[in-house]
This record gives sequence, C-alpha cells and structure tokens, in this order.
Amino acid sequence: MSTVIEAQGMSKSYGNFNALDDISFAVQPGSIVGLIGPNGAGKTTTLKALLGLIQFDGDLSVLGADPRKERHSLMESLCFIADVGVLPRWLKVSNALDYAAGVHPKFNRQRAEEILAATNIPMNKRVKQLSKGMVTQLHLSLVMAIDVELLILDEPTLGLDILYRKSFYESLLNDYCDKQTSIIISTHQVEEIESLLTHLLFIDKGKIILDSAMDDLASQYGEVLVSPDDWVRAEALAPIYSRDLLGKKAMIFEDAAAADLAVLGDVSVPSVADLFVAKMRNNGGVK
Amino acid sequence: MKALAMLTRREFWEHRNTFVALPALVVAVLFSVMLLGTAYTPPSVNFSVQSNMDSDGFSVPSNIPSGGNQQQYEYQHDLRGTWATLLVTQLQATDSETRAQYLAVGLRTIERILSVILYLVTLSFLLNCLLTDRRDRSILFWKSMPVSDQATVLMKLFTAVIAVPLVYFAGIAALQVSWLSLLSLSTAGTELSAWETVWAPAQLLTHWLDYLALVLINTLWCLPLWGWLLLVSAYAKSVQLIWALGGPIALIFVESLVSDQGHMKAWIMQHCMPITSSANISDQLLSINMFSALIAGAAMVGLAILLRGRADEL
Repeated sequence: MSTVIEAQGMSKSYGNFNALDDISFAVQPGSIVGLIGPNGAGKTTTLKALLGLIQFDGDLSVLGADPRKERHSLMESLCFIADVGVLPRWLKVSNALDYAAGVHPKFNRQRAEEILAATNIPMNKRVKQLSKGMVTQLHLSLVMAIDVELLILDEPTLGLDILYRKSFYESLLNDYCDKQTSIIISTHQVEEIESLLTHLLFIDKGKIILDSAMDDLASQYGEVLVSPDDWVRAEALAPIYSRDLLGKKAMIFEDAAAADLAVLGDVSVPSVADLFVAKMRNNGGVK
Repeated sequence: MKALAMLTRREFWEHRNTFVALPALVVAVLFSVMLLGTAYTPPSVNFSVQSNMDSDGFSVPSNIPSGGNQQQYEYQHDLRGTWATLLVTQLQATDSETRAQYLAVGLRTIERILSVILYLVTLSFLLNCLLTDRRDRSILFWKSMPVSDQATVLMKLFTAVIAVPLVYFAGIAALQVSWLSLLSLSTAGTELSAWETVWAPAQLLTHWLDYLALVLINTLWCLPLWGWLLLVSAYAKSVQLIWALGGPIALIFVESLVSDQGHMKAWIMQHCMPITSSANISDQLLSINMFSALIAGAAMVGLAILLRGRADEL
C-alpha cells in the first residue's frame, strides 16, 4: 500500500489569519498519528482539508485522491469522528444503523449491532436522549463497523468524563491494533493517547513544528535531570526546555550527542507532553 | 438506488411531523367535520340547486340556504333528513353533468385545503434543508458518508416536490373516498343508486390522475422557486427568509427602474404559484415561459449543489 496522506505546501487563510501556513507532511499505512497543538493552531483546519470540507492552496492526496474533488468516493475508505455532537439530534439509534447500511457499501450492520449490544445504548432512543458519552460510543460503533483504510478523529473525547475517555481509546486500540488502518487523532489531551501513537505531528500557528516517529524520538530528544553543579555545562548544550524539579533542573535537549548528555546524568526520552510544552515555548507560544 | 431511497427516508425521519403527522391530523379533523356534518339534521332548510360556474371553473357551492329561487320550489318536498341525505337527494334531482360539477366542488375543496398546507410545508422545507445541518454541525456527519453533493441536493428536491406530495395525495384520496362513502351511505334504504348518484359522476380516477399530473408539472413549472429556495438554503448563514424574499423583490425593483413592462415581475409571480388546473396545460408546457423556467431553475439547483460542496459547519 502506498502513502496514505501526502500533503505538499498546504495553505489556508481566513481573511488575514493564516490557519495553515505552507505545511507538508506524509502519513504511512498502519500508522497512528497524533496531531497535537494548542487551540487555534490549525488542527481542525488540517483535518477538514483532509476530508474535503474546505478549499485550500497546495497539493494534497488522501488515499490517492484529491479530497477537494473526490470527497464522495473518498468517504468509502475514510471515516471521521468530530468532537461530540455531530450526530443529528433527531436521529434514532436504529435509524443511524439503517442510514449507514443504506448509503455505505462497506458498513457491516451485524458488526455494529454486536458492538452496540456491548454498550447500554438503547436502539429506540434518539440521539438527543443520549448522554455525550453515549453519542460518542454510538458514533464509534458505526465507524468500527466500517472497514476503512483511514480513520480521522478530531478531539473525539472532548467534554467526556474520564471513564468514557478511557473506554473510547481502549475500544479503538483493541479494534484497530491488528488492522492496517491508519489513524489520525487530533487532541490536546496528549497524555491519554501517548501510548497509542506511532507518529507525532506538532502544529502551532499553522506550521508543523515537529514531525517524527515515536521510535525516532529517543535518538533526537533526551531529557536529563541535571544537578546544580552541572547547570553551566548543561546550558552550554543549549537545552530547548528547562524546568525546576526537586532542586534540580529537568532539561530537554534536541540533537545533542548522547555522550555529552550521559555525563550530566541519566538520559530518558521526554514525555510527549513535556516535549510539546518545550516545542511550543520555543515557537513563542505558551508561556 | 438503495442509497438514493435512503436519502429520502432520512428526510421523512427528520420531518415526520410536517410530512406525515400534519396531513394525517388535517385528514382526521376534516373527516370528523364531515362526519358531524353528515349526521347533522338541519331543522328547516331551503335548498337551491345552481350550477353557476365561476371564472376559474369552480361551481359556487350550491347547498347554501337561500331566500328564493325558481328551483327551490321544485325540490322542496324532498328536504327532509341529514345534510348528506339532502345532498344526495339534490344530486339525484339534477342531470349528470351538474352532478359531476357539484361533486367536483367537494373533491377540489379537499384537494385545495391539503395542497395549501403542502405548499407551505414544501417552501419551509426547501428554505431550511441545506442550512439546519450546517447550524447544528450534523453536516460533519452527513459529509462523512459516501454521498455526493448532487445526490444530497437532488434527493432533497425530489423529496419535497415528488415524495411528500404523494403522501399528501394519499391523505386527499382517503378523504375523498370517505366523503363519497358517507354520501353513499345516505342512499341506503332509498331507491337511489349510490353508483349513479355519487361514484360515477364523481369521476374520482380522473381527479386523481389530474392531481398526480399536476404534481409532475409543478415540479417543472415552479423549478425556479424550488431552485431559488435551495440556493438560499445553501448560501445563507441566517435570516434565510429575508434572503428568499429579498432576492426577487430586488429584481422586481431593479426592473421597475429600467422598464415599465414588468415582464420579470410577471414571470416571477407566475412561477411562484403552482398550476392548479390542467386546462390548457399543453400550451403552457410548450411555451418559452416554461422553457426559461427550466433553465433558470436548473441553474439555481446547480449552484446550490456547488455551494453544498463547499459547505462547512457554521
């Protein structure tokens, strides 16, 4: 299978505001990509571009198609869940299944019913009668019953309590771990999805500021807890981020020689959350 | 085909109240009124049978109690019983042509009442159908399904101008059959024949075919109206009614500045109102007027499809 997503020089502006500023990235089959950025960074704009929901400048190929021209056929192989609340409120649960079965050639109704049976969502209720968590579960059940190549999730667990958030990602992981489906998840709740991801894309002010495989993070970034005696030596290696921790400083280094860091203390791979904060601060973002 | 049918079903799920419940309610109310009217025995009434035709081909209701008229005396001896009995007796006393005209008034009245409601329901549906899902963000769900923008917009149009009128037609037909049945019941126990007095002159099948033909003709005749409403619905972010009215009013105003002929105004007014009679229909169908309506309407529907393709949540 060839590259799932290939974006080249994508730009999109709303008036004077550059939502996307010449971004390029690629997504390979089977990867689970975290698209991470603060509010207004361009996450949703990027995802909407992938879905053919907005016009933009630049080149984009999703599953070999240009979503601006071929959204309709593209949606046979691509599923999308936005944050809670995009299922129409008047829709009955059973009708949601009828509809998907009617219009989607790859929808497996029996599978959707099995997944729903494991939840406590009643078939005869309308979406407006369900809790936020149930609506998300319903949408996920529909999506998991469709055999797709690409799944796009835009803040799928926003506004849900911790129980639903956990079960959402557990279902997702269990269902997709053995498939060749690629997944893009946008979120700013980084910690919850860190263990799922194979790739990271950080986006800020319409630009990609980090594009890396999780496995490559270790070779590029190191975090060391530096004692006060070594602070001067550590600063010379130009850490991209430093924070006080129990009388020491936790510093994150980018592209520093492993031998240089080892002298300062135990080197670990920074957590995605810390790396995110480091990158955002360097980009003049969050203070 | 299965997918297209589903797009129409989906509209019926969403608009169950106005597409199904409302006509059912109106039919139920009208039927109750009929039933009461049929059973009601007026204390004393003078009937006059008239076959005066008004200008648009409808005869004036002839069961109005009237002060004095030559025919009144002719049938006076029959005036005993319920409204329905009186009606049937009157029908019996007239020639078959008058009977047919007389029954036509009742049948058309039923059609008219439901058609007016249908017209308002259609206007409201088309004006909102491409806007509400952008407002409540459910467009993100609909657009995540492999349904083309053409199919989405065209099936909404189909639902509004073909599918829903058929549902209303079922209500009309049921009510017409009920009315004629009630009249027939009144002939029971008399020497009057239900078939000859009621069913044969009613020409129910002709009425129905006429109605169904008009549904199809109005799909085309009013295409500029349907297309304009879809276009406003696809374009407007709010105040869609102001857009819908403002556009044509602005056009008419501009026309009045440059010419006093009023062609545009006449054209707009014509295509805003469905044709209600199939008399001389072929002349209208083959006119430049109709042809221009098709082109303008199709262009607006096409534009609505284009806008739908670029539509995002509001």
